[in-house]
Amino acid sequence: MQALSQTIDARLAAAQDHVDWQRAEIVVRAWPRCAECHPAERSAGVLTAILAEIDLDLETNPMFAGATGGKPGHIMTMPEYGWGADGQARIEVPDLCAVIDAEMVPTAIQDYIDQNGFGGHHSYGHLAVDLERVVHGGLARIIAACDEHAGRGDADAQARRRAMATACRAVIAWAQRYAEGAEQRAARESDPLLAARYKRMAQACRRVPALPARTLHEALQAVVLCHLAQHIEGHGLSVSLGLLDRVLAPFADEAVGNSPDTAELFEAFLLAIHANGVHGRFSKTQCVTIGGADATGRDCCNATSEAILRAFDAVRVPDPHVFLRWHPALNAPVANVAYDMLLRGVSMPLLVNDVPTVAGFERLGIATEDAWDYCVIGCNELGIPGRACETAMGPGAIHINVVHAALCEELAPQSLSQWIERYEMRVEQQLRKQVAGFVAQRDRHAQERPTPFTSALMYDTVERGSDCANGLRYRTPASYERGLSNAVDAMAAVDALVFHGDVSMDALRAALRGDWPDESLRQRFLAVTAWGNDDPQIDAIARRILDARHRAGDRVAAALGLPGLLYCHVVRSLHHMAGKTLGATADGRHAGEALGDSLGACSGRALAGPTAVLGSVLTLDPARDYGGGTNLNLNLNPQGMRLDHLRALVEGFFIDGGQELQIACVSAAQLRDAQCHPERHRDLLVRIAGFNARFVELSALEQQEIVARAEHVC
Amino acid sequence: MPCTETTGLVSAVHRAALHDGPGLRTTVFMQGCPLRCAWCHNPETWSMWPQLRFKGADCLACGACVTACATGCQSLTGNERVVDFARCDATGACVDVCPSGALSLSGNDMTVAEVTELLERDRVSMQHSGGGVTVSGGEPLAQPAFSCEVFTRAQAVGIHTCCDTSGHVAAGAIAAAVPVVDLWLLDWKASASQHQELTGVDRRRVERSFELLCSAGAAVWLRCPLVPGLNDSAEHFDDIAVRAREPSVQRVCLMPYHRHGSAKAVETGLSILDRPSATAEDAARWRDELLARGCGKLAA
Repeated sequence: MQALSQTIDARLAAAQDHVDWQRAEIVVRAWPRCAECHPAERSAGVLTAILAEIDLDLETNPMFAGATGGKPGHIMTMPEYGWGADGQARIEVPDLCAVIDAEMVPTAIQDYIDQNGFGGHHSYGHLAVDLERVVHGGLARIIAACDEHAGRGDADAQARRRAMATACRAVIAWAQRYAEGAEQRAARESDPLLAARYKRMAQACRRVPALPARTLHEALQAVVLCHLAQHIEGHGLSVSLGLLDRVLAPFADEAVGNSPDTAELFEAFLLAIHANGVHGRFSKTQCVTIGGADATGRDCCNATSEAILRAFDAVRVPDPHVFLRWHPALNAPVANVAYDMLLRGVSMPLLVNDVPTVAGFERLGIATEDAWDYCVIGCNELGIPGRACETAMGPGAIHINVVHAALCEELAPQSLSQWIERYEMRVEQQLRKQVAGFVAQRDRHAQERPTPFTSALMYDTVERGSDCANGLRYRTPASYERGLSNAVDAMAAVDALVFHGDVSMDALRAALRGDWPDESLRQRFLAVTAWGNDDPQIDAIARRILDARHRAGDRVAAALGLPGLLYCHVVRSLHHMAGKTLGATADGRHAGEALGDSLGACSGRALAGPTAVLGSVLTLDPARDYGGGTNLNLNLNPQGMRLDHLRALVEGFFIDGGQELQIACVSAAQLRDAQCHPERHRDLLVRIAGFNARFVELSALEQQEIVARAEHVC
Repeated sequence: MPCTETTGLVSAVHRAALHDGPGLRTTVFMQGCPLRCAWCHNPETWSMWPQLRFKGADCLACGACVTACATGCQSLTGNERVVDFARCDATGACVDVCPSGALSLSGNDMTVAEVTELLERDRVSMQHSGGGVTVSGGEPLAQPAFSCEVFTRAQAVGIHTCCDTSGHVAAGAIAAAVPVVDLWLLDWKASASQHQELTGVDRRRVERSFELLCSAGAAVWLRCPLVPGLNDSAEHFDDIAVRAREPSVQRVCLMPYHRHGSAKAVETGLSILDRPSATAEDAARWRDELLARGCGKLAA
């Protein structure tokens, strides 16, 4: 990491978590002034007030202007939605939530929330704007387009267009505040290098994001300001940075060779995004997507692609995160940097394969040239910058819950076929309710909490006078799923031991009600081969479940007049939340235990090695089954793994049609957890001397040696 | 009998193995070995018949095995489980009823067709990594018909083949395998003077196998397990260095001792060497010994 980045990183690391009520106070004051306006103009008015008053942070990051609060460590407040700790954050960063819980909400703000709260803690996020128009067109051009279309459409469209222009002016004015502040800061700075940095910041903010960027620094500055402005406007988790290397392509010459100056620039940029205070340091999964091909098959990597990867490697922050789009002609040096990072345990970049992903979008009628512009818009959810951003929604279908409910009906199913029929009926009911609910909720967002600045950066919205919540070029509501591996394992075990074995259904149901009181019975269910072992019989059950889900989803889409549904199997930490409220299940899982953490095998149940996990997943059709994105965790031990091994695993999977891969090389911490909970890590392979072994099969002494070795490697 | 029905007794199959030859490999561990190496890391494969394994930590003390066992080798007193391996006839009756997997068998019948079907599943990653199939053990050439048929069928579909052998096998088995094995991983375990003591067999057959492979121009990697204070003698290093000069020998792989096998020996009622694993310093010293003898084919 460059010296400046180290300084910024240290400032961020030293910051104390604290709730920042400033934004909320401004909203409470500004809201009544705009109360009678069209909701979009009210939103724009409130945003204008916020950006005019919110504290500037010129100290933390002298390279880039823009921050969601006055000092690092802040937790930004959005009373027009609500206040509290996110459920996922409670699992992932409980200490941060303790800070939130301990905070007394000021009376005026609580009164405002009681009267005006929309629900939740922020807006929906999970989107990617068109950064091309920010960087290469500038907000002034968008304002001009709003003016050009001013009289078109009905009063609602005209009001939304006015709001978009107002919001863009507010962001430009915010940049001018930073320019002024940076000029003053430069004037009193005694360190000439630092003074020069502030001067450069000031010059950039005088120009961008109002006008097209002329340099790499200006381009990144425009991205920082507009990205953070979307958050300040109200969007919360998963506001993506889109196809960043493509956006920066005209400035690629500046990145050739990845000089220390370029490295410093990209590192400081990532840290500026990292400092975003929506929900504090809780990961907002601000995704950067690089690489990939265009519709002609041409590789889109440029010098910034590698520079971005190397910056991620240097700063190693969990958020933002980076996805690399893979295709057969992917730039080899970029691919090698990626594989090398993975091999060294960086656990980034995450990998996504172009061909099945594009096919998934095309399947829903999305134009080919748009489909090839896809990016990741959240943890793993997929979208198209400025055009399609609806792959994440509410609770979704949790396969194991539906399967379990069907098993526990008064008259239990007598065969696998009957069980799947009942699953299909139940999942259709669930999808019908949830997709309709999702569409209604997006309409409500557009009506009550529109986000005109974010909307202004999308395709077609200015021309249509529409909000991004429900007015994008493509509508692609998704089913947001989890627990497929648990569902498959449950069905496989019941099929073997109940439908074709000696365990009675009554005995099983009693065991589930009692949370497996007889451990030997549970072990029998666990002993049945599980999903993720490349067993054709087991994998066929997954196929049957998803075929039933498709039939149900097609009926729901037809009933709602949608071209189809996009399906996501994205877990993040929701497998813990879902598991907490689910009783014991027929896959041998105890009540309250987490569900499977990805589309791969449940923890500890992949006994045939990594290629077998990939083999099972390859029996799915990603374009049809999970066109909205998946996460597939593949844990590998770095010892003995070489770059050519890793490349073969990745490229073999992708050539065979796999969609997404998350590779983690095993850490000493995981090994220690395996010592405490061997049942969760039965598939963990380690290197001994001239061979591999399953870690949990080693003696305690041997395990300790392996842990010590891993610690030494780290 | 059709060739697809040739059956072997297989201890285990590991997919995506990293260290049994080049690239990502599917390694087939055969059951049965004529050697009794003091440091063996796979003692469960010694028996030419299926071998019962018992992991006491996983036992639920449910007693199902005691009821199922016809020989009376399983017993349960209170919560104390005892397995009398000497009486076990390895029918697997106890394994079938064990709910927790504490009991298992090393050694199950697999047909060549079943093995080749598994190979096909990893073909893409094999091709992209320069990998293939390795038949190991146990001793793969103790079941030469099966192993050679696996090699033949793999080669026929373009999959690289490795035979990981002790070399203590019939000359005919080596000759039969030479045309269908792309790379030989030949163990070179101890000096001639120590071989009988440390492996249970003298070294004449191993030497003959080595010579046969060299005269056939086969590609050979010498694999040398080294145990501190046991077989790391000057005589042994002299011998390795001399063997490494043969044009057939492409690589010399030093394999520092690890006590992995001792836990598996307990699970199978056997007794083998159990001493601290070799250290990084040991490994460095051994490399220096061989480099000092002009051995330039050491694996990284």
